[in-house]
Amino acid sequence: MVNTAAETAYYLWLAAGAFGLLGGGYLVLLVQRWRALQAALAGLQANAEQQEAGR
Amino acid sequence: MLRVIGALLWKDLLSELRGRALLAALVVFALLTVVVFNYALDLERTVRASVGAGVLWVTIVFAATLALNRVFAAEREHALHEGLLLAPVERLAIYFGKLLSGLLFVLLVEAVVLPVFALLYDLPVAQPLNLAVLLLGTLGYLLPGTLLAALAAHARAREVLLPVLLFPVAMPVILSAVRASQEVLAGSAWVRVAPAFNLLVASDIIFLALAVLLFDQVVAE
Amino acid sequence: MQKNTGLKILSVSSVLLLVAALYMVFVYAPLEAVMGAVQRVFYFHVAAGWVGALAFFVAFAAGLLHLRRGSLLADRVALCSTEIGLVFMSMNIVSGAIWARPIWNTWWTWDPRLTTATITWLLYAAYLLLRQGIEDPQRRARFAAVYGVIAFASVPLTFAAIRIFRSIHPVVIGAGAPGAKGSFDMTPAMRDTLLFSVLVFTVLYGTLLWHRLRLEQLSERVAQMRLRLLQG
Repeated sequence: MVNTAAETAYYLWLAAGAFGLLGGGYLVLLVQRWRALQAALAGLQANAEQQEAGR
Repeated sequence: MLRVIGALLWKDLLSELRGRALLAALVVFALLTVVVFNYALDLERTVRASVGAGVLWVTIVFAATLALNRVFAAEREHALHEGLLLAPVERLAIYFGKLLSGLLFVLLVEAVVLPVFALLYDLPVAQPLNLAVLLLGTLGYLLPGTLLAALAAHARAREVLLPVLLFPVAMPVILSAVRASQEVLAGSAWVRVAPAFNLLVASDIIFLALAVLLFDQVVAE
Repeated sequence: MQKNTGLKILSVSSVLLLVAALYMVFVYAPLEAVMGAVQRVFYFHVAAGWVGALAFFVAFAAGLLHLRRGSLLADRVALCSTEIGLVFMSMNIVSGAIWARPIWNTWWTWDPRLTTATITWLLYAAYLLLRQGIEDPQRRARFAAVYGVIAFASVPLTFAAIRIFRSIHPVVIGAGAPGAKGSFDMTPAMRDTLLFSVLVFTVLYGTLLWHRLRLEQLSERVAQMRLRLLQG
Protein backbone atom coordinates (compact mmCIF):
# COMPACT_ATOMS: atom_id res chain seq x y z
CA MET A 1 0.00 0.00 0.00
CA VAL A 2 1.30 3.44 -0.82
CA ASN A 3 0.59 6.43 1.34
CA THR A 4 0.77 9.94 0.02
CA ALA A 5 3.11 12.37 1.74
CA ALA A 6 0.16 14.34 3.09
CA GLU A 7 -1.38 11.21 4.54
CA THR A 8 1.72 10.06 6.37
CA ALA A 9 2.39 13.59 7.64
CA TYR A 10 -1.18 13.64 8.99
CA TYR A 11 -0.50 10.54 11.09
CA LEU A 12 2.80 11.97 12.27
CA TRP A 13 1.01 15.06 13.60
CA LEU A 14 -1.70 12.92 15.08
CA ALA A 15 0.97 11.02 17.02
CA ALA A 16 2.66 14.24 18.05
CA GLY A 17 -0.69 15.46 19.34
CA ALA A 18 -1.15 12.26 21.33
CA PHE A 19 2.28 12.65 22.92
CA GLY A 20 1.53 16.26 23.75
CA LEU A 21 -1.90 15.50 25.16
CA LEU A 22 -0.71 12.67 27.39
CA GLY A 23 2.50 14.34 28.58
CA GLY A 24 0.98 17.78 28.87
CA GLY A 25 -2.14 16.42 30.51
CA TYR A 26 -0.07 14.68 33.15
CA LEU A 27 1.93 17.83 33.83
CA VAL A 28 -1.23 19.90 34.21
CA LEU A 29 -2.59 17.28 36.60
CA LEU A 30 0.58 17.43 38.69
CA VAL A 31 0.51 21.22 38.86
CA GLN A 32 -3.16 21.18 39.86
CA ARG A 33 -2.51 18.67 42.61
CA TRP A 34 0.45 20.70 43.82
CA ARG A 35 -1.62 23.89 43.99
CA ALA A 36 -4.48 22.17 45.78
CA LEU A 37 -2.08 20.77 48.36
CA GLN A 38 -0.40 24.14 48.88
CA ALA A 39 -3.78 25.73 49.46
CA ALA A 40 -4.76 22.99 51.89
CA LEU A 41 -1.46 23.40 53.72
CA ALA A 42 -1.93 27.16 54.05
CA GLY A 43 -5.45 26.65 55.36
CA LEU A 44 -4.28 24.11 57.91
CA GLN A 45 -1.46 26.37 59.05
CA ALA A 46 -3.85 29.27 59.59
CA ASN A 47 -6.11 26.91 61.49
CA ALA A 48 -3.26 25.75 63.70
CA GLU A 49 -2.28 29.31 64.53
CA GLN A 50 -5.85 30.09 65.49
CA GLN A 51 -5.88 27.12 67.80
CA GLU A 52 -2.59 28.26 69.32
CA ALA A 53 -4.02 31.75 69.91
CA GLY A 54 -7.22 30.40 71.40
CA ARG A 55 -5.33 28.44 74.00
CA MET B 1 1.74 -27.93 59.20
CA LEU B 2 -0.10 -30.67 57.33
CA ARG B 3 -2.47 -31.12 60.25
CA VAL B 4 -3.26 -27.43 60.23
CA ILE B 5 -3.91 -27.42 56.49
CA GLY B 6 -6.18 -30.40 56.91
CA ALA B 7 -8.06 -28.72 59.74
CA LEU B 8 -8.61 -25.56 57.71
CA LEU B 9 -9.81 -27.58 54.75
CA TRP B 10 -12.19 -29.50 57.00
CA LYS B 11 -13.53 -26.25 58.49
CA ASP B 12 -14.35 -24.86 55.03
CA LEU B 13 -16.00 -28.11 54.00
CA LEU B 14 -18.08 -28.23 57.15
CA SER B 15 -19.32 -24.70 56.73
CA GLU B 16 -20.24 -25.57 53.13
CA LEU B 17 -22.15 -28.62 54.32
CA ARG B 18 -23.91 -26.48 56.91
CA GLY B 19 -25.55 -24.61 54.10
CA ARG B 20 -23.38 -21.90 52.69
CA ALA B 21 -24.46 -23.38 49.37
CA LEU B 22 -21.52 -21.91 47.53
CA LEU B 23 -20.92 -25.05 45.55
CA ALA B 24 -24.46 -25.29 44.20
CA ALA B 25 -24.40 -21.64 43.15
CA LEU B 26 -21.05 -22.08 41.41
CA VAL B 27 -22.23 -25.12 39.48
CA VAL B 28 -25.41 -23.43 38.27
CA PHE B 29 -23.48 -20.32 37.34
CA ALA B 30 -20.93 -22.34 35.37
CA LEU B 31 -23.65 -24.22 33.49
CA LEU B 32 -25.37 -20.96 32.64
CA THR B 33 -22.09 -19.58 31.31
CA VAL B 34 -21.68 -22.58 29.02
CA VAL B 35 -25.20 -22.12 27.65
CA VAL B 36 -24.86 -18.37 27.19
CA PHE B 37 -21.61 -18.75 25.29
CA ASN B 38 -23.16 -21.21 22.89
CA TYR B 39 -25.57 -18.51 21.72
CA ALA B 40 -23.34 -15.47 22.23
CA LEU B 41 -20.73 -16.99 19.93
CA ASP B 42 -23.30 -18.71 17.72
CA LEU B 43 -21.29 -21.90 17.88
CA GLU B 44 -21.83 -24.19 14.99
CA ARG B 45 -20.40 -27.64 14.68
CA THR B 46 -17.37 -26.67 12.62
CA VAL B 47 -16.00 -23.98 14.90
CA ARG B 48 -16.76 -25.76 18.15
CA ALA B 49 -13.43 -27.58 18.34
CA SER B 50 -11.38 -24.40 18.14
CA VAL B 51 -13.63 -22.18 20.24
CA GLY B 52 -14.73 -24.83 22.73
CA ALA B 53 -11.49 -24.74 24.72
CA GLY B 54 -11.88 -21.00 25.15
CA VAL B 55 -15.48 -21.35 26.33
CA LEU B 56 -14.48 -24.03 28.81
CA TRP B 57 -11.68 -21.94 30.26
CA VAL B 58 -13.64 -18.72 30.51
CA THR B 59 -16.31 -20.69 32.36
CA ILE B 60 -13.74 -22.11 34.76
CA VAL B 61 -12.08 -18.74 35.29
CA PHE B 62 -15.42 -17.06 36.06
CA ALA B 63 -16.42 -19.77 38.51
CA ALA B 64 -12.98 -19.76 40.14
CA THR B 65 -13.11 -15.96 40.55
CA LEU B 66 -16.46 -16.22 42.31
CA ALA B 67 -15.09 -18.97 44.53
CA LEU B 68 -12.02 -16.87 45.36
CA ASN B 69 -14.20 -13.95 46.35
CA ARG B 70 -15.78 -16.18 48.95
CA VAL B 71 -12.53 -17.71 50.19
CA PHE B 72 -11.77 -15.04 52.75
CA ALA B 73 -15.31 -13.69 52.98
CA ALA B 74 -16.48 -16.13 55.63
CA GLU B 75 -13.49 -15.25 57.78
CA ARG B 76 -14.25 -11.58 57.50
CA GLU B 77 -17.95 -11.90 58.22
CA HIS B 78 -17.39 -13.88 61.35
CA ALA B 79 -14.27 -11.99 62.40
CA LEU B 80 -12.47 -15.29 62.28
CA HIS B 81 -9.56 -13.82 60.38
CA GLU B 82 -8.04 -12.27 63.48
CA GLY B 83 -8.63 -15.50 65.35
CA LEU B 84 -6.79 -17.46 62.70
CA LEU B 85 -3.84 -15.10 62.87
CA LEU B 86 -3.72 -15.17 66.65
CA ALA B 87 -3.68 -18.93 66.67
CA PRO B 88 -0.11 -20.21 66.61
CA VAL B 89 -0.49 -21.46 63.07
CA GLU B 90 2.20 -21.26 60.52
CA ARG B 91 1.03 -18.53 58.19
CA LEU B 92 1.78 -20.54 55.09
CA ALA B 93 -0.62 -23.17 56.38
CA ILE B 94 -3.42 -20.61 56.04
CA TYR B 95 -2.41 -20.04 52.43
CA PHE B 96 -2.29 -23.73 51.57
CA GLY B 97 -5.48 -24.47 53.45
CA LYS B 98 -7.31 -21.79 51.48
CA LEU B 99 -5.65 -22.83 48.23
CA LEU B 100 -6.70 -26.43 48.66
CA SER B 101 -10.26 -25.68 49.67
CA GLY B 102 -10.55 -23.36 46.64
CA LEU B 103 -9.06 -26.04 44.42
CA LEU B 104 -11.43 -28.66 45.79
CA PHE B 105 -14.46 -26.46 45.14
CA VAL B 106 -13.49 -25.53 41.61
CA LEU B 107 -12.56 -29.12 40.74
CA LEU B 108 -15.96 -30.25 42.00
CA VAL B 109 -17.59 -27.63 39.78
CA GLU B 110 -15.52 -28.89 36.86
CA ALA B 111 -16.53 -32.46 37.62
CA VAL B 112 -20.18 -31.48 37.07
CA VAL B 113 -19.67 -29.04 34.22
CA LEU B 114 -17.27 -31.14 32.17
CA PRO B 115 -19.68 -33.98 31.27
CA VAL B 116 -22.41 -31.49 30.45
CA PHE B 117 -19.97 -29.50 28.35
CA ALA B 118 -18.83 -32.63 26.54
CA LEU B 119 -22.44 -33.50 25.84
CA LEU B 120 -23.57 -30.07 24.66
CA TYR B 121 -20.48 -29.24 22.62
CA ASP B 122 -19.70 -32.77 21.48
CA LEU B 123 -16.01 -32.52 22.32
CA PRO B 124 -13.67 -35.23 23.68
CA VAL B 125 -12.82 -33.44 26.93
CA ALA B 126 -12.24 -36.53 29.07
CA GLN B 127 -8.77 -37.35 27.76
CA PRO B 128 -6.07 -37.80 30.42
CA LEU B 129 -3.95 -35.05 28.91
CA ASN B 130 -6.84 -32.58 28.89
CA LEU B 131 -7.64 -33.48 32.49
CA ALA B 132 -4.02 -32.78 33.38
CA VAL B 133 -4.29 -29.40 31.65
CA LEU B 134 -7.48 -28.67 33.56
CA LEU B 135 -5.85 -29.50 36.88
CA LEU B 136 -2.68 -27.50 36.17
CA GLY B 137 -4.61 -24.55 34.75
CA THR B 138 -7.04 -24.42 37.65
CA LEU B 139 -4.16 -24.66 40.09
CA GLY B 140 -2.24 -22.00 38.17
CA TYR B 141 -5.20 -19.64 38.40
CA LEU B 142 -5.77 -20.27 42.10
CA LEU B 143 -2.10 -19.98 43.12
CA PRO B 144 -1.88 -16.22 42.51
CA GLY B 145 -5.64 -15.97 43.04
CA THR B 146 -5.58 -17.07 46.67
CA LEU B 147 -2.75 -14.66 47.42
CA LEU B 148 -4.48 -11.75 45.70
CA ALA B 149 -7.80 -12.61 47.36
CA ALA B 150 -6.04 -12.13 50.68
CA LEU B 151 -4.87 -8.70 49.46
CA ALA B 152 -8.28 -7.70 48.14
CA ALA B 153 -9.98 -8.85 51.34
CA HIS B 154 -8.63 -5.73 53.06
CA ALA B 155 -9.55 -3.28 50.31
CA ARG B 156 -12.65 -1.33 49.45
CA ALA B 157 -14.78 -2.71 46.60
CA ARG B 158 -13.00 -6.02 47.01
CA GLU B 159 -15.38 -8.10 44.89
CA VAL B 160 -14.62 -5.96 41.86
CA LEU B 161 -10.98 -5.45 42.73
CA LEU B 162 -10.08 -9.13 42.80
CA PRO B 163 -10.66 -9.88 39.10
CA VAL B 164 -9.06 -6.55 38.16
CA LEU B 165 -5.93 -7.58 40.07
CA LEU B 166 -5.98 -11.22 39.09
CA PHE B 167 -6.86 -11.31 35.37
CA PRO B 168 -3.74 -9.56 34.07
CA VAL B 169 -1.50 -11.51 36.47
CA ALA B 170 -3.04 -14.86 35.53
CA MET B 171 -2.89 -14.08 31.81
CA PRO B 172 -0.01 -16.51 31.09
CA VAL B 173 -1.88 -19.32 32.85
CA ILE B 174 -5.14 -18.65 31.03
CA LEU B 175 -3.50 -18.30 27.62
CA SER B 176 -1.32 -21.39 27.89
CA ALA B 177 -4.17 -23.45 29.31
CA VAL B 178 -6.52 -22.45 26.49
CA ARG B 179 -3.83 -23.13 23.93
CA ALA B 180 -3.00 -26.56 25.38
CA SER B 181 -6.68 -27.54 25.61
CA GLN B 182 -7.27 -26.41 22.03
CA GLU B 183 -4.50 -28.62 20.75
CA VAL B 184 -5.58 -31.60 22.84
CA LEU B 185 -9.22 -31.26 21.78
CA ALA B 186 -8.15 -30.98 18.15
CA GLY B 187 -6.30 -34.28 18.56
CA SER B 188 -2.86 -32.82 17.88
CA ALA B 189 0.37 -34.69 18.58
CA TRP B 190 2.31 -33.99 21.80
CA VAL B 191 4.83 -31.73 20.01
CA ARG B 192 2.02 -29.29 19.29
CA VAL B 193 0.74 -29.41 22.86
CA ALA B 194 4.16 -29.28 24.51
CA PRO B 195 5.05 -25.55 24.28
CA ALA B 196 1.82 -24.41 25.94
CA PHE B 197 1.85 -27.30 28.41
CA ASN B 198 5.42 -26.61 29.50
CA LEU B 199 4.73 -22.92 29.91
CA LEU B 200 1.70 -23.79 32.03
CA VAL B 201 3.87 -25.94 34.30
CA ALA B 202 6.51 -23.22 34.48
CA SER B 203 3.90 -20.59 35.38
CA ASP B 204 2.53 -22.84 38.12
CA ILE B 205 5.98 -23.28 39.61
CA ILE B 206 6.78 -19.58 39.49
CA PHE B 207 3.47 -18.53 41.04
CA LEU B 208 3.87 -21.19 43.73
CA ALA B 209 7.35 -19.90 44.58
CA LEU B 210 6.11 -16.28 44.67
CA ALA B 211 3.19 -17.19 46.92
CA VAL B 212 5.43 -19.03 49.36
CA LEU B 213 7.83 -16.10 49.46
CA LEU B 214 5.23 -13.36 49.72
CA PHE B 215 2.28 -14.67 51.72
CA ASP B 216 4.02 -13.90 54.99
CA GLN B 217 3.94 -10.22 54.04
CA VAL B 218 0.22 -10.33 53.37
CA VAL B 219 -0.75 -11.55 56.82
CA ALA B 220 1.99 -9.77 58.78
CA GLU B 221 0.52 -7.48 61.40
CA MET C 1 8.75 24.02 50.73
CA GLN C 2 12.38 25.00 50.42
CA LYS C 3 13.80 26.10 47.10
CA ASN C 4 15.53 23.28 45.32
CA THR C 5 18.23 24.43 42.92
CA GLY C 6 19.26 20.94 41.86
CA LEU C 7 15.75 20.16 40.72
CA LYS C 8 15.46 23.53 38.98
CA ILE C 9 18.64 22.92 36.98
CA LEU C 10 17.46 19.44 36.09
CA SER C 11 14.06 20.69 34.98
CA VAL C 12 15.47 23.40 32.75
CA SER C 13 17.99 21.05 31.18
CA SER C 14 15.26 18.47 30.56
CA VAL C 15 13.24 21.02 28.63
CA LEU C 16 16.31 22.04 26.62
CA LEU C 17 17.15 18.42 25.91
CA LEU C 18 13.58 17.78 24.81
CA VAL C 19 13.77 20.68 22.35
CA ALA C 20 17.05 19.29 21.00
CA ALA C 21 15.49 15.84 20.63
CA LEU C 22 12.54 17.33 18.77
CA TYR C 23 14.97 19.07 16.44
CA MET C 24 16.78 15.79 15.78
CA VAL C 25 13.55 13.88 15.18
CA PHE C 26 11.99 16.41 12.83
CA VAL C 27 15.02 17.93 11.10
CA TYR C 28 18.25 16.01 11.65
CA ALA C 29 16.93 12.50 10.99
CA PRO C 30 16.44 11.80 7.28
CA LEU C 31 13.05 11.06 5.78
CA GLU C 32 12.50 7.31 5.57
CA ALA C 33 11.98 6.35 1.93
CA VAL C 34 9.14 3.83 2.17
CA MET C 35 7.09 4.96 5.14
CA GLY C 36 7.57 8.68 4.81
CA ALA C 37 7.07 11.22 7.58
CA VAL C 38 5.14 8.93 9.91
CA GLN C 39 8.31 6.92 10.54
CA ARG C 40 9.47 9.82 12.75
CA VAL C 41 6.98 8.59 15.36
CA PHE C 42 9.36 5.70 15.91
CA TYR C 43 11.99 7.63 17.92
CA PHE C 44 9.74 8.85 20.72
CA HIS C 45 7.65 5.69 20.51
CA VAL C 46 10.64 3.53 21.39
CA ALA C 47 11.90 6.02 23.97
CA ALA C 48 8.50 6.09 25.72
CA GLY C 49 8.37 2.29 25.76
CA TRP C 50 11.85 2.17 27.25
CA VAL C 51 10.91 4.63 29.99
CA GLY C 52 7.75 2.63 30.73
CA ALA C 53 9.78 -0.54 31.20
CA LEU C 54 12.41 1.31 33.25
CA ALA C 55 9.79 2.91 35.48
CA PHE C 56 8.09 -0.41 36.17
CA PHE C 57 11.43 -2.00 36.94
CA VAL C 58 12.24 0.80 39.38
CA ALA C 59 8.84 0.29 41.01
CA PHE C 60 9.56 -3.44 41.30
CA ALA C 61 12.99 -2.87 42.85
CA ALA C 62 11.60 -0.24 45.23
CA GLY C 63 8.84 -2.64 46.23
CA LEU C 64 11.39 -5.32 47.05
CA LEU C 65 13.38 -2.81 49.05
CA HIS C 66 10.27 -1.89 50.98
CA LEU C 67 9.54 -5.54 51.75
CA ARG C 68 13.09 -6.09 53.02
CA ARG C 69 13.64 -2.91 54.98
CA GLY C 70 10.18 -1.43 55.46
CA SER C 71 11.41 1.82 53.95
CA LEU C 72 8.53 4.23 53.36
CA LEU C 73 10.62 6.24 50.92
CA ALA C 74 10.95 3.10 48.78
CA ASP C 75 7.18 2.74 48.80
CA ARG C 76 6.77 6.34 47.71
CA VAL C 77 9.24 5.78 44.87
CA ALA C 78 7.28 2.69 43.79
CA LEU C 79 4.03 4.64 43.63
CA CYS C 80 5.48 7.63 41.79
CA SER C 81 7.47 5.52 39.35
CA THR C 82 4.43 3.41 38.51
CA GLU C 83 2.30 6.45 37.82
CA ILE C 84 4.91 7.96 35.51
CA GLY C 85 5.46 4.58 33.86
CA LEU C 86 1.76 4.41 33.07
CA VAL C 87 1.85 7.80 31.38
CA PHE C 88 4.81 6.79 29.20
CA MET C 89 3.33 3.38 28.48
CA SER C 90 0.16 5.11 27.30
CA MET C 91 2.26 7.27 24.96
CA ASN C 92 3.98 4.17 23.67
CA ILE C 93 0.75 2.28 22.97
CA VAL C 94 -1.16 5.21 21.46
CA SER C 95 1.71 6.35 19.24
CA GLY C 96 2.23 2.76 18.12
CA ALA C 97 -1.41 2.44 17.12
CA ILE C 98 -1.25 5.71 15.20
CA TRP C 99 1.88 4.58 13.36
CA ALA C 100 0.29 1.21 12.61
CA ARG C 101 -2.77 2.73 10.92
CA PRO C 102 -0.96 3.84 7.73
CA ILE C 103 1.77 1.16 7.85
CA TRP C 104 -0.10 -2.01 8.83
CA ASN C 105 -3.42 -0.70 7.59
CA THR C 106 -5.01 -1.21 11.00
CA TRP C 107 -4.92 0.53 14.38
CA TRP C 108 -4.39 -2.71 16.19
CA THR C 109 -3.15 -6.26 15.75
CA TRP C 110 -2.85 -8.84 18.50
CA ASP C 111 0.89 -8.97 18.06
CA PRO C 112 2.96 -10.21 21.09
CA ARG C 113 4.57 -6.86 21.79
CA LEU C 114 1.38 -4.84 21.50
CA THR C 115 -0.57 -7.25 23.62
CA THR C 116 2.13 -7.54 26.27
CA ALA C 117 2.41 -3.76 26.48
CA THR C 118 -1.34 -3.48 26.95
CA ILE C 119 -1.54 -6.19 29.60
CA THR C 120 1.37 -4.53 31.39
CA TRP C 121 -0.54 -1.26 31.30
CA LEU C 122 -3.57 -2.99 32.82
CA LEU C 123 -1.41 -4.61 35.50
CA TYR C 124 -0.10 -1.30 36.72
CA ALA C 125 -3.48 0.38 36.47
CA ALA C 126 -4.67 -2.42 38.78
CA TYR C 127 -1.71 -1.65 41.05
CA LEU C 128 -2.90 1.94 41.46
CA LEU C 129 -6.49 0.76 42.08
CA LEU C 130 -5.25 -1.58 44.81
CA ARG C 131 -3.42 1.29 46.49
CA GLN C 132 -6.51 3.44 46.32
CA GLY C 133 -8.59 0.75 48.00
CA ILE C 134 -6.51 0.41 51.17
CA GLU C 135 -6.66 2.99 53.97
CA ASP C 136 -3.86 2.00 56.34
CA PRO C 137 -0.54 3.36 54.97
CA GLN C 138 1.61 0.52 56.30
CA ARG C 139 -0.62 -2.15 54.89
CA ARG C 140 -1.07 -0.24 51.64
CA ALA C 141 2.70 -0.11 51.16
CA ARG C 142 3.15 -3.79 51.95
CA PHE C 143 0.29 -5.01 49.75
CA ALA C 144 1.34 -2.77 46.89
CA ALA C 145 4.88 -4.12 47.05
CA VAL C 146 3.59 -7.71 47.03
CA TYR C 147 1.40 -7.00 44.01
CA GLY C 148 4.25 -5.16 42.30
CA VAL C 149 6.51 -8.20 42.59
CA ILE C 150 3.87 -10.61 41.25
CA ALA C 151 2.93 -8.23 38.44
CA PHE C 152 6.52 -7.77 37.35
CA ALA C 153 7.16 -11.51 37.36
CA SER C 154 4.09 -12.24 35.25
CA VAL C 155 5.03 -9.93 32.36
CA PRO C 156 7.70 -12.16 30.74
CA LEU C 157 5.43 -15.19 31.19
CA THR C 158 2.63 -13.35 29.42
CA PHE C 159 4.95 -12.45 26.56
CA ALA C 160 5.98 -16.10 26.21
CA ALA C 161 2.35 -17.25 26.31
CA ILE C 162 1.27 -14.83 23.59
CA ARG C 163 4.17 -15.90 21.43
CA ILE C 164 3.11 -19.53 21.69
CA PHE C 165 -0.40 -18.49 20.78
CA ARG C 166 0.59 -16.46 17.77
CA SER C 167 3.41 -18.51 16.35
CA ILE C 168 0.79 -21.10 15.44
CA HIS C 169 -2.08 -18.80 14.62
CA PRO C 170 -1.52 -16.72 11.50
CA VAL C 171 -2.12 -13.00 11.81
CA VAL C 172 -5.22 -12.44 9.76
CA ILE C 173 -5.48 -8.69 9.58
CA GLY C 174 -2.76 -6.83 7.72
CA ALA C 175 -0.90 -8.37 4.83
CA GLY C 176 1.75 -10.79 6.06
CA ALA C 177 3.64 -10.86 9.33
CA PRO C 178 3.43 -7.51 11.11
CA GLY C 179 7.07 -7.72 12.17
CA ALA C 180 8.18 -7.66 8.59
CA LYS C 181 5.94 -4.84 7.49
CA GLY C 182 7.28 -1.49 8.56
CA SER C 183 10.78 -2.63 9.38
CA PHE C 184 13.60 -0.62 7.86
CA ASP C 185 17.36 -0.20 7.95
CA MET C 186 18.52 2.63 10.15
CA THR C 187 21.01 5.10 8.79
CA PRO C 188 23.63 6.40 11.27
CA ALA C 189 21.67 9.65 11.64
CA MET C 190 18.55 7.69 12.50
CA ARG C 191 20.43 5.61 15.05
CA ASP C 192 21.86 8.75 16.69
CA THR C 193 18.40 10.26 16.85
CA LEU C 194 16.99 7.14 18.47
CA LEU C 195 19.77 6.91 21.05
CA PHE C 196 19.47 10.59 21.85
CA SER C 197 15.69 10.33 22.22
CA VAL C 198 16.06 7.42 24.61
CA LEU C 199 18.60 9.39 26.63
CA VAL C 200 16.40 12.48 26.75
CA PHE C 201 13.35 10.49 27.81
CA THR C 202 15.37 8.83 30.56
CA VAL C 203 16.41 12.24 31.90
CA LEU C 204 12.79 13.36 31.59
CA TYR C 205 11.74 10.37 33.65
CA GLY C 206 14.23 11.26 36.37
CA THR C 207 13.00 14.84 36.48
CA LEU C 208 9.35 13.81 36.62
CA LEU C 209 10.07 11.26 39.33
CA TRP C 210 11.76 13.89 41.44
CA HIS C 211 8.86 16.32 41.05
CA ARG C 212 6.33 13.60 41.70
CA LEU C 213 8.17 12.53 44.87
CA ARG C 214 8.09 16.10 46.17
CA LEU C 215 4.37 16.20 45.48
CA GLU C 216 3.93 12.98 47.46
CA GLN C 217 5.96 14.41 50.34
CA LEU C 218 3.80 17.50 50.40
CA SER C 219 0.67 15.40 50.34
CA GLU C 220 1.91 13.39 53.31
CA ARG C 221 2.75 16.58 55.19
CA VAL C 222 -0.77 17.86 54.63
CA ALA C 223 -2.25 14.56 55.78
CA GLN C 224 -0.12 14.57 58.94
CA MET C 225 -1.01 18.15 59.74
CA ARG C 226 -4.70 17.44 59.30
CA LEU C 227 -4.39 14.53 61.69
CA ARG C 228 -2.58 16.65 64.28
CA LEU C 229 -5.21 19.36 64.06
CA LEU C 230 -7.99 16.84 64.56
CA GLN C 231 -6.29 15.39 67.60
CA GLY C 232 -5.12 18.74 69.03
